[in-house]
Amino acid sequence: MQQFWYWHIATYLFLGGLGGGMMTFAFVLGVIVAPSLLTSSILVFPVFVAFICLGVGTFLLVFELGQWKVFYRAFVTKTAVIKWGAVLLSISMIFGVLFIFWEITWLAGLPIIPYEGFARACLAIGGVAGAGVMVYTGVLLASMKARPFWNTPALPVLFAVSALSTGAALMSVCVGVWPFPDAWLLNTTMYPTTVPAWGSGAAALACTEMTEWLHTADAVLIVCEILVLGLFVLLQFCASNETAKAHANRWVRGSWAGIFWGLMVGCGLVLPLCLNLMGGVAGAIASPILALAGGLLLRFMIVWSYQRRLMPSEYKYYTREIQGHEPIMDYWKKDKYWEEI
Amino acid sequence: MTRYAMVMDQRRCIGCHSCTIACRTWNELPVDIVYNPVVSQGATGIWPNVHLEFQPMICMHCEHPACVPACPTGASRQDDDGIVWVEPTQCMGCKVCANACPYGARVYNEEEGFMRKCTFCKDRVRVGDQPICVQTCHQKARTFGDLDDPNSEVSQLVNQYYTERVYPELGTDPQIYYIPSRGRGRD
Amino acid sequence: MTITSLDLHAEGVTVRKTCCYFCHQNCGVLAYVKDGKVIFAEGDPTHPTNQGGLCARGNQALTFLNNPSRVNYPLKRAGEKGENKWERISWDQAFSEIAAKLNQIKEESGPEAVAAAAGTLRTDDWARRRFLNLFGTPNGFHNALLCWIPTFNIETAVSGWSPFETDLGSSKVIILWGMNPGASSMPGAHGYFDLQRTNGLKIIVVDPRYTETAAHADLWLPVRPGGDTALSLAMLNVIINEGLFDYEFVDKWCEGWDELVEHIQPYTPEWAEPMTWIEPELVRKAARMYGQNRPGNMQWAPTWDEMGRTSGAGIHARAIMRAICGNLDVPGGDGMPGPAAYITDEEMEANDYLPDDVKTKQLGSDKFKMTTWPGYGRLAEISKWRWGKAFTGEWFCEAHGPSVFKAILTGDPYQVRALFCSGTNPQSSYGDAKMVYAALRKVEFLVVCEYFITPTALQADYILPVAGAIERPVIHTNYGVTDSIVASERGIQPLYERKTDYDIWRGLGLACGQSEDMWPWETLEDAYYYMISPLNLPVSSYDEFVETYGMYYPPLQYKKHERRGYFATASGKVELKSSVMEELGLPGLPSYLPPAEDELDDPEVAKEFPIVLTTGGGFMPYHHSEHFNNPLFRYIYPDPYFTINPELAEKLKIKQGDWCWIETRRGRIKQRANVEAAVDPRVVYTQRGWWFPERDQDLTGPNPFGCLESNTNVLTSIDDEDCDPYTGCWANRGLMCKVYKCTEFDHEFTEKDTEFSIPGDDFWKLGGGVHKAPSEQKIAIDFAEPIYAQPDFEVPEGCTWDYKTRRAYDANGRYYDAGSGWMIDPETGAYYQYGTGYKYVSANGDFLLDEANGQFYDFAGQPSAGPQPTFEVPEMCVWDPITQTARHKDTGYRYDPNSGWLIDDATSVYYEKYTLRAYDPTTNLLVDMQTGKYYSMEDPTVEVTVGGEN
Repeated sequence: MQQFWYWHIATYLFLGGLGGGMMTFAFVLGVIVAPSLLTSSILVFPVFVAFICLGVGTFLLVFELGQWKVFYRAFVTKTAVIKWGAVLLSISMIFGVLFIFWEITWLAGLPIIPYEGFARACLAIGGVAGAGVMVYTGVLLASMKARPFWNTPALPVLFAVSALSTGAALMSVCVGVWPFPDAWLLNTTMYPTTVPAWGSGAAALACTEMTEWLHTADAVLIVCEILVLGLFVLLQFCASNETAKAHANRWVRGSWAGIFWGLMVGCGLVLPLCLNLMGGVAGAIASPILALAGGLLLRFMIVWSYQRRLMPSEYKYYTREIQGHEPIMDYWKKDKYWEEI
Repeated sequence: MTRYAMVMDQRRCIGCHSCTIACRTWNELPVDIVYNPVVSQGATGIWPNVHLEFQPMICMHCEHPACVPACPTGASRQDDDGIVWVEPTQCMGCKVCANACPYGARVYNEEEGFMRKCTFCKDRVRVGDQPICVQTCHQKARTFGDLDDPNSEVSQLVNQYYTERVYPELGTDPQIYYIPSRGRGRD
Repeated sequence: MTITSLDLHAEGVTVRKTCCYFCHQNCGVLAYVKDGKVIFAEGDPTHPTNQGGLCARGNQALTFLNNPSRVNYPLKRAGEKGENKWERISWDQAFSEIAAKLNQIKEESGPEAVAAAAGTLRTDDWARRRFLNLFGTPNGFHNALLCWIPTFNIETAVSGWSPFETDLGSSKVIILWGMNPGASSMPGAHGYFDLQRTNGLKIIVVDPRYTETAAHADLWLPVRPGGDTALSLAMLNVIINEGLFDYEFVDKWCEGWDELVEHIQPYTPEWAEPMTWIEPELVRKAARMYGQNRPGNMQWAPTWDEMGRTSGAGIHARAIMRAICGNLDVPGGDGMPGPAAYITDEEMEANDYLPDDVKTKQLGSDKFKMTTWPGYGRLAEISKWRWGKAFTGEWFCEAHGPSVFKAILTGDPYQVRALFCSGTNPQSSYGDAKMVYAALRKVEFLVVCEYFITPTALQADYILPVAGAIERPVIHTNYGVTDSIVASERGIQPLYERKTDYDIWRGLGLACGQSEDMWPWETLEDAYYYMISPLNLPVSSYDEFVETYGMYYPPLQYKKHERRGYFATASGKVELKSSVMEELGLPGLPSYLPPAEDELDDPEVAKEFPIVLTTGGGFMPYHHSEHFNNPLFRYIYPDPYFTINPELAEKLKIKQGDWCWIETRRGRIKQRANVEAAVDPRVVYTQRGWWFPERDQDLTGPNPFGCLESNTNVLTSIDDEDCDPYTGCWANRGLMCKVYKCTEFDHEFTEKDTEFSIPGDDFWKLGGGVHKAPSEQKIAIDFAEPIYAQPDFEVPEGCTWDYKTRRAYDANGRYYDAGSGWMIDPETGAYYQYGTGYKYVSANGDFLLDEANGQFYDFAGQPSAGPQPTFEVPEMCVWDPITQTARHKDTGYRYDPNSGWLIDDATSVYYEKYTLRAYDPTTNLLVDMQTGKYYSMEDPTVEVTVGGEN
């Protein structure tokens, strides 16, 4: 009843958060934690993947619009939440692309913009905007006071934590599977140039370190997410609003309990955490994939908990309204009796 | 200043859906779009001590609408006389306003691609006619007018009777006033 | 991409005063027409009925007009019956082929083998009747027996005309008996609730459901469905025994009071409790509220006529209640319209052309006499005698619909071979729908005049497209029985090749060989102009009448009986004990008959079917079986719902929205559960009319369009025994049923569910088939020996008693006045001496006049010169004692003793008595008619010249 957003938006929220989270991590790693990484190729692939996530998310958003031809209007007016989302999304994507462009030209020995500060700035702006995007995905829903299950400050926190955790997971995969140590790049470059102080061996070492760092971060974030999710659902249970309570009920012990406990909490959070702690291939590959699936499922469950607060009379009206009565609608559209006459 | 508002007299409403249908006809709405359903729980209570009440729903044309600030494109807007409406050519169909509206007043049709909502029949009101739902109500359950004019019928009804509004606690300041059919509203 | 906006005030938009045509109210509708297209339609703010409002049905007029599935051309069946394959033909071809077939059937089987059903005030019914009368068949019918006609005829038998016009202005109390204007006639509802707030009008609602209307009531009697008659009798008992009636009125204007008082004694509120489920105290309260608040109204509702066996007595009891409380034709009471000044429907119908021997062949007239020719004929005769006008034959005198369908199936009492259906869908609207389905499949020749392909039209041989709302002019005269007119014009000419019913009947009549003289009006407007012509309004066309006046209301006259000296009954009084009913062998006073099924009389049935079923109340936004193909409506109301109390629902484990079976002895249907406390926990209420136009993919199954699946008429009973013995209305209310949830294995409506039996009540035990021929079926009572009114005086020799007018007539057509012993001429009111036949003349003395030779006698029998003049007769004049005037010897002009002038009675011209010159009022001169010369008034000999004329 009164559902307006479906899988496009759920996926968009997931991908936006994911891309935003990855951008944030790229910023944290490349600018704060290990500035030396800035000039290695390690960050190119994660930032590219983040860009793809944000791009696909944006495509889904635009694709879902009723009149996508006027989507540019989102930039020209007002201060709506969704408008800031679009702005942040764009900034994050643009500076991500700029960073990739700088890095490739730099590593390829074609330093069109020969300043490291530029790369750092790109990563910083893109990363902060990415952080904004992942919070925005939650704020967008949380600002709907019409929808009690969304309208809670816990939701942006939940989405942000989930975005970071999924971001860390995907980033660790990106870094872990990156097959090209810098040496490859260096050896194939036509022009020797300002080679980083540490050689290809150092780069490979950095890869491993970074993966481990991300695994650790992911484990911490998954624990955080479990806590925030618990808090979120608990808050909904205690809400003053029957609609929110009904949704929480559905999640925890209603028709969605199996999905919630089994798939989301079990396979999407607890299992990845365990695998993560176990380490090895399971920790490197299975754990992040499950975490990502859990994050996606979370967005779907949230988006499908869209119910507007209804008066009992409205509820009766909407249950009675036409649903699954396509023949009636078709009947109206056709003019068939008289076509042949 | 003009501030349009509507009073729904639930003592008179008999739930005949004529406003719903008249609105669909005047506004030439697609089949699956309804601006103003009339809802009811049916008879409530324990037989034979029961009560029956109908509630005509419509856009509340809130003083502080939730939908307008949510709109990223500026297609959703509020006029000085309080009428909240959507400019279809500017709407990109993101449906965020529909999610923001606590009253379910915004309706969307895939084929059209823009958001629709009750306009208080501003095309009629501005040439001096009543909105079609008010004009067609044979029970005179709906009254439309200028709340800023102390002599208007809506002002008098709102000031004279106990009225209720839907979810005023959300801070939207809805401008549809209901005179309930029982309780303090019964004269 | 954009939202279009209409401009009703734009250049080139004309406004036409049309009317809504989706129920009987005919609310005013303004149609905005631009370039021959209707761009919008809205309520007419100046219309007396709706004052600018319109209900959902009225608001969908444009959708209806342009609905893509409307039938727009005459169609002839191209495939097998029911296959939904059609060939478009011309009107000429349609008329000639149909007429040929009808004439062939008439030739072979007599005209009565052609029957015709029609919708309710949705066709030009008088034209239909005219056609049928001229064709010679008495078998026209409507669903009228379920709607007002039983009430009208019984009330007319009691009080001379049904007092149906509620005059609410100064009313103190109104009983809305089984009426829910909140869902069925919106404009009315507005009036009641307004008066309740402003005028202190008390509203009593009798309804087994807690309805929109009951929600507003001062007193609500939640009666057991079908218990209305017991309730009426109990209320009548309280009113009589507690002396709540109008003593003066009863004394002066009622006949049969003493018998009534005695007759009503057993029917106490305590007696009624098991049948009505209402506490005796509440009944007393209602009776007191009604009896003590005068003037009061009782509003008729279709329920009165839909309970089958029990209906007639209840109607009679309520008619008595209205009368003895002194509410008849008083301000604020139950208004009786006077005889209409315009030409009524009855006069347009040409009933005189139907031969008497054919009238006796009317189906059902041997069983249900009040609404067929025996009863109607007698009542119409009385009305014409008393008032000069009668109520309409269409509706008020009809074949018994179910008997027609039975005759189609069984050939008993004779085979009906052809059926016309105009604006009706019998498949949904007649009782025992399964049997109707079989009859429609079987009938040899079926012609349907329709808007859409309905389940009935699906079985047709020909479908004729009919003009609907906005496409036709409408005169609203309340079925032709009121004295006012509310008129409307057409907005546009019918679109495509649609025609008004009048055009169809006229065309068909001419094609059947009826004379053009019998159909003198080329268009419906011409016919309507003819109907309003006696009003002598200064208009030259019907449309002009609509635009200038729009309506005609005669001056309001209350208490017409006091002015005239009689009610329009045989006795001239309110016949509490009805002489017409007694003449027909029916009980003259209301005696309780139980409803078709109830737990007290049929414990065996109640054991199997423990729940009381009530069917057929109106529900918005649909109307009868109409608009189910309207997506505007279906979108907000897509499925049929039956109402069940939460208490019962819990017991049966039924939840809101569950599909359930509802089963009676006659069959079962499915609807979804609407669980709400709107009905008693012992009752369920099913919606009527449902069919599913969207299920048009496979129409060959046993249930095309799902026309039986959720059709509440599968549950209702039309067995003769269950019908009202007065009027033949069949049982829709107060039946017994059971309800159970559709299960996974039992949710399909199968071929087995379409089997039926005659009589239907045997279906649950004996299964499908004809178990008893219709003519062997009995009705609920045995006819008594007819009782004809007997004289309460000794009929003098030479006079014969006529029970119809209750007078003893002599050979000259004068009747005997027992009070004076004289004979009275009914035409002139003049008295004649019994025996001699001399006329009584009272002029300057009393004389008797032998009209044969002009001889006067005095009372002693001696010849006399007759009356003498009281003034001096001038010399040129002669006294004539017969006319008691003095007249001029030569010219015969009458002498006026007051002015001293002569008057020509033919021209009313005054003449100077000596010169015989005429008075010319324009010049104030005398004029010589031969020469044309003018003379002075002062001196008649002086000639005067007038302005050049001379």
